Amino acid sequence: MIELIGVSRTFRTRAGDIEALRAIDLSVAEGEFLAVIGRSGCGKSTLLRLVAGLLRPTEGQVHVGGAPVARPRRDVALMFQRPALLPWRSVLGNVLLPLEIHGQARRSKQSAGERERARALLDSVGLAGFHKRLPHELSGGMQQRVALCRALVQRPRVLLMDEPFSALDALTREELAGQLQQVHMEVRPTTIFVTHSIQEAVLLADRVAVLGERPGRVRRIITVDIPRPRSFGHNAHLADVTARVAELTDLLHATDAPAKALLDSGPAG
Amino acid sequence: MPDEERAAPRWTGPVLPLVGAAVAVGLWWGATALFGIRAFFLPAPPDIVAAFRAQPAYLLREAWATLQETVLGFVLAVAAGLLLAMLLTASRAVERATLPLIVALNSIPKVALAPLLIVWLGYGPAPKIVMIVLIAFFPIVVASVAGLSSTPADLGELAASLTASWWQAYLKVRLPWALPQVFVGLKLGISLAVIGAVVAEISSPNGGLGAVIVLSGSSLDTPLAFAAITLLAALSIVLFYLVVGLERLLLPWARAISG
Repeated sequence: MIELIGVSRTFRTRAGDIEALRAIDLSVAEGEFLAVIGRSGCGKSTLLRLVAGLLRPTEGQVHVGGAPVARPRRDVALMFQRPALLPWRSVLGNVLLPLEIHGQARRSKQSAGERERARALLDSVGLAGFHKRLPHELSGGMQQRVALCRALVQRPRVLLMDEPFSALDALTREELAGQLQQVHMEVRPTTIFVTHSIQEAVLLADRVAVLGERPGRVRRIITVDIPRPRSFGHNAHLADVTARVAELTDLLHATDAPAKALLDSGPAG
Repeated sequence: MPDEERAAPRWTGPVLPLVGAAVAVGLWWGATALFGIRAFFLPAPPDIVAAFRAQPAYLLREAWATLQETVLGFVLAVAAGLLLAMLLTASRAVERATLPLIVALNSIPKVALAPLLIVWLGYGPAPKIVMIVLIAFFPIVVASVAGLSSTPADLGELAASLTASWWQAYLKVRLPWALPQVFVGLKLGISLAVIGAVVAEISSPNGGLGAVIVLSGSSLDTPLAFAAITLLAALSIVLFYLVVGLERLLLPWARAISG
């Protein structure tokens, strides 16, 4: 579904060229959930923006659904670190924005159906009764759930998420990660999920790509073959989850500078 | 929003400023009585009320004339200011090329142009309207340009990722995002519009409250001048709060996200 072939991206700045990504080869199968994990500044977000068509690669090729990516596509939805809601629009109005832009929200039979779908999506993430509120009346976690609904309302084949839960408190993060797992099991969009939380990666992903730093390169890809639904509570797979978390923690800490790894011995998430 | 935090200011809000104003008027009144200041030098509050009651129809007619000029000039300034701001921000290059020029033009004291406007446009209402537009126009342009060029990066990326056209992104994201800033300009502009009206009326005193002040000054009728000034202040305050009210009505979200 998604293929990156020898993708490099260099940014030109006044201080000289900065190589964000070098020779990335990566492919994500239809319906697969790939987590991309790495330290800050390893080019994770750049990778996502290349797949989204917001940036062009300096070298190499990005394909989505078999076609090279030249610009953003309607069947690819993007979710950001911040909710990026329009503060003057109601919760429902924000979710309907993609449909309006795609010209599906005009007064037609389809639009009634789509509005109903937007309402149902909001209800499914626990926002029933908040449809008419303005974003600033909602908590950060609720805002990010609205953003998730906005990403899903366009029935994307590809869902790209850039550290979507990193600005939230720990409990809300876990709750939202659980909801995202639910959504992915039901709708199965092909997903790239950028994070620096090992826990989130292990909970959600089929595979985890570990990126090395400056320039970002794929260091290793780990398969997480734990049956879903997964959780961090006590259950049959607890040992597997713990083992994968430990494996990823070691990998992230064994990055380019061994001495640094000793200093930062806490979890990287 | 926590209601209990807002409950207290809700009733003390209008009371404390009123107390302050009453004390100020009282001190002024007391001073004129205590030091025996004569009314042509500094009239006491009752002298001003008396001046108003002597010829209310005349004063209200002149106030109405000033109000009409001010509103017409302000509306023209808003239309021209928004249009120019939208043209300027259509491209980064245009904005960079012209914004410094506009800021430089803004630094000309517009009051200095009043005699020239009479030379160019005569003694009718035209020079007054032009003065109001000139003086109210710049803050509206500058604030609107600032608003239109402050769209957050993630909202821009959102519009791009949703395959929005330039026009869709402008109407659905950039323009609404700019509105709180536009209103900053409008609030500055409406107060300046009243000043522009008075300046124009003083330099060409053939109508309006500015003319009343000039004429009463030359006949040493200070209480009448104060009555006119009081009406001007009331006019200015009412117009300002109308703009504030419009902002609260149209942009209930603006205060929440700015603070």
